[in-house]
Amino acid sequence: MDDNVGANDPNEDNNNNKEQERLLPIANVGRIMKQSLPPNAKISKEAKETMQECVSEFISFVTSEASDKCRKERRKTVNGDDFCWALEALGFDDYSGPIRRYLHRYRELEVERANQDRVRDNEREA
Amino acid sequence: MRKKLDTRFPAARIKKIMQADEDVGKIALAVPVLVSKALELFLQDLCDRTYEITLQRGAKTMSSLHLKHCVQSYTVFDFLKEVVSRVPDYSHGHSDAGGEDRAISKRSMR
Repeated sequence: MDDNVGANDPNEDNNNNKEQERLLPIANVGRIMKQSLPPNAKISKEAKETMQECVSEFISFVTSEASDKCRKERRKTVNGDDFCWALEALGFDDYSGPIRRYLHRYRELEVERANQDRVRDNEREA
Repeated sequence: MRKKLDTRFPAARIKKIMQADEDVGKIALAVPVLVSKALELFLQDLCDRTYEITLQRGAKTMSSLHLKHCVQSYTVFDFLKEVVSRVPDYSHGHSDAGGEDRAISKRSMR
């Protein structure tokens, strides 16, 4: 991660900000790692930082696959089904089941939310 | 009372990372939420498998070298090979100039 060889570069601060923008917060990464492991497990700082990079790489990898599918099918928007499909296509079959169920639940909540809005609007009009 | 699905990672940042790729167009609202969930599963997976290596080595602390060897052991993690190639091969990675040189020369050997 420390590949800023030109330490005297006046743009170094900008580079660091750009670096941070393409990574997810290390606190979140660390928290999930801790939860996955036994309570006495220790994790080095470098391991957490490398995991952080791996996480961003995973996003780009799966997104690219989903995006390619959309382009081939002449669609502009990557949706939940595309993402699930990409997970399976790339060998993450174990994740696609839980993610599909999560998507289903998300859509259910969207419908509920829309119904609540409709009820509230109707009451307002009366 | 609006129910929100519990997401661990910031959706806006996820979206930014996704759209860093110029070829990626619009993204449905549901997607960053799903990505966040998938990331949890992925991290757990990668972590568990790396920790197996940590234990095999008799080490107390998971290091980036264990992670590197984990990536090299499973084809499903091939896409991470470049990320871990920067991890030096001697134990306990400090990122000093020597480590970087080794990483660079390793890359040019491909």
